[in-house]
Amino acid sequence: MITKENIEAYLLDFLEGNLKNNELLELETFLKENPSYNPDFELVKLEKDNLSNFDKSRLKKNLVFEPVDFQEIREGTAEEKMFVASTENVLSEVEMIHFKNHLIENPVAQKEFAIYQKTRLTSDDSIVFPNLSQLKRKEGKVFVFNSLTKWSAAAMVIGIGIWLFFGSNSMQRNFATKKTPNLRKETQNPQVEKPNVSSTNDDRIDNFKFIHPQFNSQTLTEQKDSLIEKKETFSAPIDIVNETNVIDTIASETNMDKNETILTNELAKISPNASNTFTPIEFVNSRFKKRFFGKDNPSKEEMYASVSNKISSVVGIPFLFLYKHEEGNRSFYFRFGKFSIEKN
Amino acid sequence: MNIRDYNNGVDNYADGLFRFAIKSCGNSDQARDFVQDAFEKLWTKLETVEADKMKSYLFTTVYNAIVDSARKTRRKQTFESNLHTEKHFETTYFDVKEKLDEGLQKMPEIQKQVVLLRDYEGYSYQEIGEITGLSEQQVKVYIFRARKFLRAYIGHLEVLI
Repeated sequence: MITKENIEAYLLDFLEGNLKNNELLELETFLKENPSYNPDFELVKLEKDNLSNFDKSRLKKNLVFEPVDFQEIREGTAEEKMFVASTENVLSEVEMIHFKNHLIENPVAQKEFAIYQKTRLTSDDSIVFPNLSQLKRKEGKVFVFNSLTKWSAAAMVIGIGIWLFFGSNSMQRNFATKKTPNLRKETQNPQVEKPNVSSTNDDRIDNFKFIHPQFNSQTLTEQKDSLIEKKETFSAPIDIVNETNVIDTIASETNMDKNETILTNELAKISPNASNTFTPIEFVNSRFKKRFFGKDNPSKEEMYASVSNKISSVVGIPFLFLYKHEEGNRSFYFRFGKFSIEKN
Repeated sequence: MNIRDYNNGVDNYADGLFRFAIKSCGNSDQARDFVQDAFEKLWTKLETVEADKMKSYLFTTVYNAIVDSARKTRRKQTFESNLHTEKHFETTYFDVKEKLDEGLQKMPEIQKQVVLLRDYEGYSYQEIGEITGLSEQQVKVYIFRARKFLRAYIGHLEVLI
Protein backbone atom coordinates (compact mmCIF):
# COMPACT_ATOMS: atom_id res chain seq x y z
CA MET A 1 0.00 0.00 0.00
CA ILE A 2 1.56 3.24 -1.12
CA THR A 3 1.04 6.18 1.20
CA LYS A 4 2.41 9.69 1.43
CA GLU A 5 4.87 8.42 3.97
CA ASN A 6 6.43 5.67 1.88
CA ILE A 7 6.04 7.17 -1.61
CA GLU A 8 9.69 8.22 -1.74
CA ALA A 9 10.84 4.66 -1.18
CA TYR A 10 8.58 3.47 -3.97
CA LEU A 11 9.86 6.18 -6.31
CA LEU A 12 13.44 5.17 -5.64
CA ASP A 13 12.60 1.53 -6.29
CA PHE A 14 10.87 2.60 -9.47
CA LEU A 15 13.96 4.48 -10.66
CA GLU A 16 16.06 1.43 -9.92
CA GLY A 17 13.62 -0.80 -11.78
CA ASN A 18 12.89 -2.91 -8.75
CA LEU A 19 9.11 -2.62 -8.70
CA LYS A 20 6.89 -5.53 -9.65
CA ASN A 21 4.02 -5.13 -12.08
CA ASN A 22 1.31 -4.81 -9.44
CA GLU A 23 3.44 -2.27 -7.55
CA LEU A 24 3.89 -0.30 -10.75
CA LEU A 25 0.16 -0.15 -11.29
CA GLU A 26 -0.34 0.88 -7.69
CA LEU A 27 2.26 3.62 -8.08
CA GLU A 28 0.63 4.84 -11.26
CA THR A 29 -2.72 5.05 -9.53
CA PHE A 30 -1.26 6.88 -6.56
CA LEU A 31 0.50 9.45 -8.75
CA LYS A 32 -2.67 10.09 -10.67
CA GLU A 33 -4.56 10.72 -7.46
CA ASN A 34 -1.69 12.80 -5.98
CA PRO A 35 -0.09 14.68 -8.86
CA SER A 36 1.97 16.82 -6.44
CA TYR A 37 4.14 13.75 -5.80
CA ASN A 38 4.85 13.27 -9.50
CA PRO A 39 8.66 13.64 -9.74
CA ASP A 40 10.56 15.14 -12.66
CA PHE A 41 12.28 11.98 -13.82
CA GLU A 42 14.04 13.60 -16.73
CA LEU A 43 15.78 16.06 -14.37
CA VAL A 44 16.82 13.27 -12.07
CA LYS A 45 18.29 11.31 -14.92
CA LEU A 46 20.12 14.30 -16.40
CA GLU A 47 21.73 14.99 -13.09
CA LYS A 48 22.73 11.38 -12.88
CA ASP A 49 24.21 11.45 -16.36
CA ASN A 50 26.16 14.58 -15.51
CA LEU A 51 27.76 12.85 -12.60
CA SER A 52 29.75 10.47 -14.67
CA ASN A 53 30.48 9.69 -18.30
CA PHE A 54 31.05 6.05 -17.47
CA ASP A 55 28.84 3.73 -19.57
CA LYS A 56 27.12 1.62 -16.98
CA SER A 57 24.61 0.11 -19.34
CA ARG A 58 26.55 -3.13 -19.64
CA LEU A 59 26.58 -3.52 -15.92
CA LYS A 60 22.86 -2.96 -15.50
CA LYS A 61 20.43 -5.80 -15.08
CA ASN A 62 18.01 -6.51 -17.89
CA LEU A 63 14.64 -4.85 -17.88
CA VAL A 64 12.69 -6.71 -15.24
CA PHE A 65 9.10 -5.76 -15.78
CA GLU A 66 6.87 -6.47 -18.74
CA PRO A 67 4.20 -4.27 -20.30
CA VAL A 68 0.74 -5.16 -19.03
CA ASP A 69 -0.63 -5.69 -22.55
CA PHE A 70 2.01 -8.29 -23.38
CA GLN A 71 2.31 -9.91 -19.96
CA GLU A 72 0.56 -13.12 -20.92
CA ILE A 73 2.74 -13.83 -23.93
CA ARG A 74 4.86 -16.82 -23.02
CA GLU A 75 7.73 -16.13 -25.36
CA GLY A 76 10.43 -13.51 -25.82
CA THR A 77 12.24 -11.45 -23.19
CA ALA A 78 10.77 -8.65 -21.16
CA GLU A 79 12.88 -6.19 -23.12
CA GLU A 80 11.55 -7.48 -26.44
CA LYS A 81 8.03 -7.12 -25.16
CA MET A 82 8.80 -3.54 -24.16
CA PHE A 83 10.19 -2.84 -27.62
CA VAL A 84 7.13 -4.27 -29.32
CA ALA A 85 4.68 -2.66 -26.89
CA SER A 86 6.34 0.72 -27.36
CA THR A 87 6.26 0.31 -31.14
CA GLU A 88 2.59 -0.56 -30.79
CA ASN A 89 1.98 2.50 -28.59
CA VAL A 90 0.31 0.47 -25.88
CA LEU A 91 2.59 1.39 -22.97
CA SER A 92 0.97 3.14 -20.06
CA GLU A 93 2.39 6.41 -18.75
CA VAL A 94 4.40 4.74 -16.01
CA GLU A 95 5.59 1.98 -18.31
CA MET A 96 6.73 4.58 -20.80
CA ILE A 97 8.73 6.47 -18.17
CA HIS A 98 10.32 3.28 -16.99
CA PHE A 99 11.13 2.26 -20.55
CA LYS A 100 12.65 5.65 -21.37
CA ASN A 101 14.87 5.39 -18.37
CA HIS A 102 15.98 1.99 -19.49
CA LEU A 103 16.85 3.33 -22.92
CA ILE A 104 18.78 6.27 -21.49
CA GLU A 105 20.86 3.90 -19.43
CA ASN A 106 21.32 1.40 -22.21
CA PRO A 107 22.61 2.61 -25.62
CA VAL A 108 22.45 -0.93 -27.08
CA ALA A 109 18.75 -1.08 -26.24
CA GLN A 110 18.34 2.31 -27.93
CA LYS A 111 19.70 0.93 -31.19
CA GLU A 112 17.60 -2.17 -30.93
CA PHE A 113 14.48 -0.13 -30.24
CA ALA A 114 15.23 2.08 -33.25
CA ILE A 115 15.14 -1.02 -35.47
CA TYR A 116 11.90 -2.21 -33.88
CA GLN A 117 10.32 1.12 -34.62
CA LYS A 118 11.12 0.60 -38.28
CA THR A 119 8.91 -2.50 -38.32
CA ARG A 120 5.80 -0.34 -38.36
CA LEU A 121 4.29 -0.70 -41.80
CA THR A 122 3.06 2.35 -43.66
CA SER A 123 0.39 2.03 -46.32
CA ASP A 124 1.25 3.25 -49.78
CA ASP A 125 -1.43 5.81 -50.57
CA SER A 126 -0.52 5.75 -54.24
CA ILE A 127 -2.15 2.31 -54.44
CA VAL A 128 -5.83 2.92 -55.12
CA PHE A 129 -8.64 0.72 -56.34
CA PRO A 130 -9.00 1.06 -60.11
CA ASN A 131 -12.40 2.20 -61.42
CA LEU A 132 -13.88 3.00 -58.06
CA SER A 133 -17.10 4.08 -59.76
CA GLN A 134 -17.85 0.54 -60.93
CA LEU A 135 -18.40 -0.49 -57.33
CA LYS A 136 -20.95 2.24 -56.72
CA ARG A 137 -24.70 1.84 -57.10
CA LYS A 138 -27.23 4.31 -58.39
CA GLU A 139 -29.35 5.85 -55.72
CA GLY A 140 -33.10 5.45 -55.90
CA LYS A 141 -35.54 2.63 -55.40
CA VAL A 142 -33.75 -0.68 -55.60
CA PHE A 143 -34.82 -4.25 -55.55
CA VAL A 144 -32.33 -6.31 -53.64
CA PHE A 145 -32.22 -10.01 -54.44
CA ASN A 146 -31.97 -11.50 -51.01
CA SER A 147 -32.53 -15.18 -50.39
CA LEU A 148 -36.26 -14.72 -49.76
CA THR A 149 -36.88 -12.94 -53.05
CA LYS A 150 -34.75 -15.45 -54.90
CA TRP A 151 -36.72 -18.36 -53.51
CA SER A 152 -39.99 -16.55 -54.14
CA ALA A 153 -39.02 -15.92 -57.75
CA ALA A 154 -37.97 -19.53 -58.14
CA ALA A 155 -41.23 -20.78 -56.64
CA MET A 156 -43.22 -18.49 -58.92
CA VAL A 157 -41.42 -19.66 -62.04
CA ILE A 158 -41.74 -23.29 -60.98
CA GLY A 159 -45.45 -22.73 -60.37
CA ILE A 160 -45.92 -21.25 -63.83
CA GLY A 161 -43.97 -24.13 -65.29
CA ILE A 162 -46.08 -26.74 -63.54
CA TRP A 163 -49.26 -24.99 -64.63
CA LEU A 164 -48.02 -24.92 -68.20
CA PHE A 165 -46.99 -28.56 -68.26
CA PHE A 166 -49.68 -30.22 -66.23
CA GLY A 167 -52.45 -27.76 -65.52
CA SER A 168 -53.09 -25.87 -68.73
CA ASN A 169 -54.52 -28.79 -70.71
CA SER A 170 -56.87 -29.87 -67.97
CA MET A 171 -57.90 -26.27 -67.40
CA GLN A 172 -58.68 -25.93 -71.08
CA ARG A 173 -60.72 -29.11 -70.92
CA ASN A 174 -62.58 -27.84 -67.91
CA PHE A 175 -63.24 -24.57 -69.61
CA ALA A 176 -64.54 -26.31 -72.70
CA THR A 177 -66.75 -28.78 -70.86
CA LYS A 178 -67.93 -26.74 -67.91
CA LYS A 179 -68.13 -23.20 -69.16
CA THR A 180 -69.53 -23.89 -72.63
CA PRO A 181 -71.44 -27.17 -72.47
CA ASN A 182 -74.21 -25.89 -74.67
CA LEU A 183 -71.76 -24.68 -77.31
CA ARG A 184 -70.30 -28.19 -77.69
CA LYS A 185 -73.65 -29.88 -77.77
CA GLU A 186 -75.10 -27.56 -80.35
CA THR A 187 -72.02 -27.87 -82.49
CA GLN A 188 -72.51 -31.62 -82.66
CA ASN A 189 -76.29 -31.45 -83.08
CA PRO A 190 -77.20 -28.09 -84.52
CA GLN A 191 -80.79 -29.14 -85.10
CA VAL A 192 -81.44 -29.87 -81.45
CA GLU A 193 -83.33 -27.16 -79.69
CA LYS A 194 -81.55 -25.16 -77.02
CA PRO A 195 -81.22 -27.44 -73.99
CA ASN A 196 -80.18 -26.43 -70.49
CA VAL A 197 -80.25 -22.74 -71.21
CA SER A 198 -80.82 -20.92 -68.03
CA SER A 199 -83.55 -18.40 -67.80
CA THR A 200 -80.94 -15.80 -66.90
CA ASN A 201 -79.10 -16.27 -70.18
CA ASP A 202 -82.36 -16.19 -72.10
CA ASP A 203 -83.18 -12.99 -70.32
CA ARG A 204 -79.81 -11.53 -71.31
CA ILE A 205 -80.38 -12.36 -74.97
CA ASP A 206 -83.89 -10.94 -74.76
CA ASN A 207 -82.53 -7.86 -73.04
CA PHE A 208 -79.87 -7.48 -75.74
CA LYS A 209 -82.46 -7.74 -78.47
CA PHE A 210 -84.83 -5.48 -76.58
CA ILE A 211 -82.21 -2.76 -76.12
CA HIS A 212 -80.90 -3.14 -79.66
CA PRO A 213 -83.90 -4.26 -81.70
CA GLN A 214 -81.95 -3.89 -84.93
CA PHE A 215 -79.91 -7.01 -83.92
CA ASN A 216 -82.00 -10.13 -83.95
CA SER A 217 -80.55 -13.64 -84.30
CA GLN A 218 -80.48 -13.38 -88.05
CA THR A 219 -78.64 -10.07 -88.19
CA LEU A 220 -76.07 -11.25 -85.69
CA THR A 221 -75.30 -14.32 -87.78
CA GLU A 222 -74.97 -12.14 -90.86
CA GLN A 223 -72.69 -9.82 -88.97
CA LYS A 224 -70.47 -12.74 -87.97
CA ASP A 225 -70.29 -14.14 -91.49
CA SER A 226 -69.39 -10.68 -92.75
CA LEU A 227 -66.62 -10.41 -90.20
CA ILE A 228 -65.21 -13.86 -91.06
CA GLU A 229 -65.24 -12.91 -94.71
CA LYS A 230 -63.46 -9.66 -93.93
CA LYS A 231 -60.77 -11.46 -91.97
CA GLU A 232 -60.24 -14.03 -94.68
CA THR A 233 -59.81 -11.28 -97.23
CA PHE A 234 -56.94 -9.85 -95.19
CA SER A 235 -55.49 -13.32 -94.51
CA ALA A 236 -56.14 -12.96 -90.83
CA PRO A 237 -55.99 -16.14 -88.74
CA ILE A 238 -59.45 -17.63 -88.43
CA ASP A 239 -58.99 -18.37 -84.74
CA ILE A 240 -59.40 -14.78 -83.71
CA VAL A 241 -62.79 -14.54 -85.35
CA ASN A 242 -65.20 -15.84 -82.79
CA GLU A 243 -68.35 -14.70 -81.11
CA THR A 244 -66.43 -12.36 -78.86
CA ASN A 245 -65.06 -10.58 -81.88
CA VAL A 246 -68.50 -10.29 -83.34
CA ILE A 247 -69.94 -8.73 -80.23
CA ASP A 248 -66.86 -6.53 -79.78
CA THR A 249 -67.11 -5.37 -83.36
CA ILE A 250 -70.78 -4.63 -83.02
CA ALA A 251 -70.14 -2.87 -79.74
CA SER A 252 -67.35 -0.73 -81.10
CA GLU A 253 -69.18 0.10 -84.35
CA THR A 254 -72.39 1.02 -82.59
CA ASN A 255 -70.76 2.51 -79.43
CA MET A 256 -72.58 -0.01 -77.26
CA ASP A 257 -71.67 -0.66 -73.69
CA LYS A 258 -68.69 -3.02 -73.52
CA ASN A 259 -70.40 -4.95 -70.78
CA GLU A 260 -72.71 -6.40 -73.36
CA THR A 261 -69.89 -8.70 -74.50
CA ILE A 262 -71.03 -10.90 -71.65
CA LEU A 263 -73.39 -12.44 -74.18
CA THR A 264 -70.53 -14.11 -75.98
CA ASN A 265 -71.47 -17.60 -74.90
CA GLU A 266 -75.11 -17.14 -75.71
CA LEU A 267 -74.23 -16.01 -79.20
CA ALA A 268 -72.38 -19.26 -79.65
CA LYS A 269 -75.78 -20.89 -79.80
CA ILE A 270 -76.39 -19.33 -83.17
CA SER A 271 -72.86 -20.10 -84.43
CA PRO A 272 -72.94 -22.61 -87.31
CA ASN A 273 -69.22 -23.40 -87.09
CA ALA A 274 -68.20 -23.42 -83.46
CA SER A 275 -65.39 -25.97 -83.92
CA ASN A 276 -63.16 -23.30 -85.47
CA THR A 277 -63.30 -21.15 -82.36
CA PHE A 278 -60.70 -20.88 -79.54
CA THR A 279 -61.58 -20.42 -75.92
CA PRO A 280 -59.92 -17.35 -74.31
CA ILE A 281 -57.55 -19.59 -72.28
CA GLU A 282 -56.54 -21.51 -75.39
CA PHE A 283 -55.85 -18.26 -77.15
CA VAL A 284 -53.76 -16.82 -74.27
CA ASN A 285 -51.96 -20.13 -73.79
CA SER A 286 -51.05 -20.31 -77.45
CA ARG A 287 -49.71 -16.74 -77.47
CA PHE A 288 -47.84 -17.29 -74.21
CA LYS A 289 -46.12 -20.43 -75.47
CA LYS A 290 -45.11 -18.70 -78.68
CA ARG A 291 -43.61 -15.78 -76.78
CA PHE A 292 -42.06 -17.85 -73.99
CA PHE A 293 -40.76 -20.85 -75.94
CA GLY A 294 -40.66 -19.44 -79.48
CA LYS A 295 -43.10 -22.12 -80.72
CA ASP A 296 -46.85 -22.70 -80.68
CA ASN A 297 -46.45 -26.32 -79.67
CA PRO A 298 -43.00 -26.92 -78.15
CA SER A 299 -42.14 -30.41 -76.97
CA LYS A 300 -42.10 -31.02 -73.24
CA GLU A 301 -38.31 -31.42 -73.25
CA GLU A 302 -37.97 -28.02 -74.94
CA MET A 303 -40.27 -26.45 -72.39
CA TYR A 304 -38.39 -28.01 -69.47
CA ALA A 305 -35.06 -26.81 -70.84
CA SER A 306 -36.34 -23.30 -71.50
CA VAL A 307 -37.94 -22.93 -68.06
CA SER A 308 -34.86 -24.40 -66.37
CA ASN A 309 -32.61 -21.89 -68.12
CA LYS A 310 -34.84 -19.00 -67.16
CA ILE A 311 -34.94 -20.07 -63.52
CA SER A 312 -31.16 -20.47 -63.46
CA SER A 313 -30.64 -16.98 -64.88
CA VAL A 314 -33.13 -15.36 -62.46
CA VAL A 315 -31.97 -17.16 -59.33
CA GLY A 316 -28.30 -17.34 -60.20
CA ILE A 317 -28.14 -20.97 -59.07
CA PRO A 318 -27.93 -23.97 -61.41
CA PHE A 319 -31.44 -25.34 -61.94
CA LEU A 320 -32.63 -28.29 -64.02
CA PHE A 321 -36.00 -30.01 -64.22
CA LEU A 322 -36.67 -33.02 -66.47
CA TYR A 323 -39.78 -35.19 -66.69
CA LYS A 324 -40.47 -38.04 -69.08
CA HIS A 325 -43.57 -40.15 -69.48
CA GLU A 326 -43.07 -42.87 -72.07
CA GLU A 327 -45.07 -46.08 -72.34
CA GLY A 328 -46.25 -45.94 -68.79
CA ASN A 329 -42.76 -45.28 -67.39
CA ARG A 330 -42.26 -42.02 -65.60
CA SER A 331 -38.80 -40.58 -64.90
CA PHE A 332 -38.16 -37.41 -63.01
CA TYR A 333 -34.99 -35.42 -62.36
CA PHE A 334 -34.76 -32.22 -60.34
CA ARG A 335 -31.60 -30.28 -59.50
CA PHE A 336 -31.28 -26.97 -57.66
CA GLY A 337 -27.71 -25.91 -56.87
CA LYS A 338 -26.07 -28.86 -55.18
CA PHE A 339 -29.40 -30.45 -54.28
CA SER A 340 -30.78 -33.04 -56.71
CA ILE A 341 -33.54 -35.67 -56.81
CA GLU A 342 -33.84 -38.43 -59.36
CA LYS A 343 -36.75 -40.87 -59.62
CA ASN A 344 -37.45 -43.54 -62.23
CA MET B 1 -27.85 0.67 -44.23
CA ASN B 2 -29.01 2.46 -47.37
CA ILE B 3 -27.46 3.02 -50.80
CA ARG B 4 -25.87 6.29 -49.72
CA ASP B 5 -24.08 4.52 -46.87
CA TYR B 6 -23.00 1.83 -49.30
CA ASN B 7 -21.57 4.36 -51.76
CA ASN B 8 -19.84 6.20 -48.92
CA GLY B 9 -18.34 2.87 -47.94
CA VAL B 10 -16.96 2.49 -51.46
CA ASP B 11 -15.37 5.94 -51.21
CA ASN B 12 -13.97 5.41 -47.74
CA TYR B 13 -12.89 1.79 -47.67
CA ALA B 14 -12.28 0.48 -51.20
CA ASP B 15 -8.73 1.83 -51.41
CA GLY B 16 -7.80 0.60 -47.94
CA LEU B 17 -9.26 -2.82 -48.68
CA PHE B 18 -7.40 -2.95 -51.96
CA ARG B 19 -4.08 -2.06 -50.28
CA PHE B 20 -4.71 -4.64 -47.58
CA ALA B 21 -5.59 -7.29 -50.16
CA ILE B 22 -2.72 -6.50 -52.50
CA LYS B 23 -0.19 -6.65 -49.65
CA SER B 24 -1.71 -9.88 -48.41
CA CYS B 25 -1.91 -11.82 -51.65
CA GLY B 26 0.70 -9.95 -53.72
CA ASN B 27 -1.44 -9.97 -56.84
CA SER B 28 -3.33 -6.87 -57.93
CA ASP B 29 -5.86 -8.71 -60.11
CA GLN B 30 -6.69 -11.11 -57.35
CA ALA B 31 -6.84 -8.25 -54.85
CA ARG B 32 -9.30 -6.41 -57.08
CA ASP B 33 -11.49 -9.51 -57.28
CA PHE B 34 -11.45 -9.86 -53.50
CA VAL B 35 -12.55 -6.25 -53.05
CA GLN B 36 -15.25 -6.50 -55.72
CA ASP B 37 -16.60 -9.70 -54.22
CA ALA B 38 -16.66 -8.11 -50.77
CA PHE B 39 -18.74 -5.20 -52.03
CA GLU B 40 -21.03 -7.57 -53.96
CA LYS B 41 -21.67 -9.51 -50.77
CA LEU B 42 -22.25 -6.29 -48.88
CA TRP B 43 -24.78 -5.23 -51.51
CA THR B 44 -26.78 -8.42 -51.08
CA LYS B 45 -26.79 -7.82 -47.31
CA LEU B 46 -27.64 -4.15 -47.59
CA GLU B 47 -30.62 -4.42 -45.30
CA THR B 48 -28.97 -6.55 -42.64
CA VAL B 49 -25.52 -4.95 -42.24
CA GLU B 50 -25.53 -1.78 -40.17
CA ALA B 51 -23.62 1.24 -41.48
CA ASP B 52 -21.21 1.35 -38.54
CA LYS B 53 -20.35 -2.33 -39.03
CA MET B 54 -19.69 -1.95 -42.73
CA LYS B 55 -15.91 -1.51 -42.51
CA SER B 56 -15.54 -4.50 -40.25
CA TYR B 57 -17.81 -6.58 -42.52
CA LEU B 58 -15.79 -5.67 -45.61
CA PHE B 59 -12.42 -6.42 -44.02
CA THR B 60 -13.72 -9.69 -42.60
CA THR B 61 -14.98 -10.73 -46.03
CA VAL B 62 -11.72 -9.85 -47.75
CA TYR B 63 -9.71 -11.50 -44.98
CA ASN B 64 -11.68 -14.75 -45.31
CA ALA B 65 -11.30 -14.70 -49.08
CA ILE B 66 -7.55 -14.20 -48.78
CA VAL B 67 -7.20 -17.01 -46.25
CA ASP B 68 -9.26 -19.39 -48.43
CA SER B 69 -7.23 -18.47 -51.46
CA ALA B 70 -3.96 -18.87 -49.57
CA ARG B 71 -4.98 -22.35 -48.44
CA LYS B 72 -5.68 -23.40 -52.00
CA THR B 73 -2.39 -22.13 -53.34
CA ARG B 74 -0.19 -22.86 -50.35
CA ARG B 75 1.99 -25.35 -52.17
CA LYS B 76 2.55 -22.98 -55.02
CA GLN B 77 3.33 -20.11 -52.66
CA THR B 78 5.87 -22.19 -50.79
CA PHE B 79 7.61 -23.00 -54.03
CA GLU B 80 7.72 -19.36 -55.06
CA SER B 81 8.83 -18.38 -51.59
CA ASN B 82 11.79 -20.73 -51.83
CA LEU B 83 12.77 -19.25 -55.15
CA HIS B 84 12.50 -15.81 -53.64
CA THR B 85 14.71 -16.75 -50.70
CA GLU B 86 17.49 -17.84 -53.00
CA LYS B 87 17.22 -14.56 -54.82
CA HIS B 88 17.32 -12.62 -51.58
CA PHE B 89 21.07 -12.81 -51.19
CA GLU B 90 21.66 -11.22 -54.56
CA THR B 91 19.33 -8.31 -53.97
CA THR B 92 20.48 -4.87 -52.91
CA TYR B 93 18.01 -2.94 -50.81
CA PHE B 94 17.74 0.78 -51.08
CA ASP B 95 15.43 1.42 -48.18
CA VAL B 96 13.88 -0.22 -45.18
CA LYS B 97 10.41 -0.15 -46.75
CA GLU B 98 11.54 -2.33 -49.62
CA LYS B 99 13.08 -4.78 -47.23
CA LEU B 100 9.99 -4.76 -45.03
CA ASP B 101 7.75 -5.47 -48.00
CA GLU B 102 9.82 -8.48 -48.84
CA GLY B 103 9.81 -9.62 -45.24
CA LEU B 104 6.05 -9.24 -45.17
CA GLN B 105 5.65 -11.64 -48.07
CA LYS B 106 7.75 -14.25 -46.28
CA MET B 107 5.89 -13.92 -43.03
CA PRO B 108 3.37 -16.61 -41.98
CA GLU B 109 -0.03 -15.76 -43.43
CA ILE B 110 -1.91 -15.10 -40.21
CA GLN B 111 0.85 -12.87 -38.80
CA LYS B 112 0.88 -10.89 -42.02
CA GLN B 113 -2.89 -10.29 -41.98
CA VAL B 114 -2.85 -9.26 -38.35
CA VAL B 115 0.03 -6.83 -38.62
CA LEU B 116 -1.43 -5.32 -41.82
CA LEU B 117 -4.76 -4.72 -40.14
CA ARG B 118 -2.94 -3.17 -37.22
CA ASP B 119 -0.61 -0.88 -39.13
CA TYR B 120 -2.63 -0.07 -42.24
CA GLU B 121 -6.02 0.37 -40.67
CA GLY B 122 -5.12 1.06 -37.05
CA TYR B 123 -7.52 -1.57 -35.72
CA SER B 124 -7.40 -2.41 -32.02
CA TYR B 125 -6.50 -5.92 -30.91
CA GLN B 126 -10.14 -6.59 -30.14
CA GLU B 127 -11.31 -5.43 -33.58
CA ILE B 128 -8.65 -7.54 -35.29
CA GLY B 129 -9.88 -10.47 -33.23
CA GLU B 130 -13.44 -9.90 -34.47
CA ILE B 131 -12.29 -9.75 -38.09
CA THR B 132 -10.01 -12.76 -37.98
CA GLY B 133 -11.95 -14.86 -35.50
CA LEU B 134 -9.00 -14.93 -33.09
CA SER B 135 -8.99 -14.09 -29.41
CA GLU B 136 -7.45 -10.79 -28.33
CA GLN B 137 -4.62 -12.70 -26.69
CA GLN B 138 -3.88 -14.61 -29.87
CA VAL B 139 -3.82 -11.38 -31.82
CA LYS B 140 -1.21 -9.96 -29.43
CA VAL B 141 0.91 -13.06 -29.78
CA TYR B 142 0.80 -12.86 -33.57
CA ILE B 143 1.61 -9.15 -33.51
CA PHE B 144 4.54 -9.82 -31.21
CA ARG B 145 5.83 -12.58 -33.47
CA ALA B 146 5.32 -10.48 -36.57
CA ARG B 147 7.34 -7.58 -35.16
CA LYS B 148 10.11 -9.91 -34.09
CA PHE B 149 10.08 -11.53 -37.52
CA LEU B 150 10.33 -8.17 -39.29
CA ARG B 151 12.98 -6.96 -36.91
CA ALA B 152 15.04 -10.09 -37.61
CA TYR B 153 14.44 -9.68 -41.33
CA ILE B 154 15.64 -6.10 -41.38
CA GLY B 155 18.83 -7.14 -39.64
CA HIS B 156 21.22 -4.32 -38.96
CA LEU B 157 20.24 -0.93 -40.27
CA GLU B 158 23.83 -0.26 -41.22
CA VAL B 159 23.59 -3.03 -43.82
CA LEU B 160 20.92 -1.13 -45.68
CA ILE B 161 22.18 1.42 -48.17
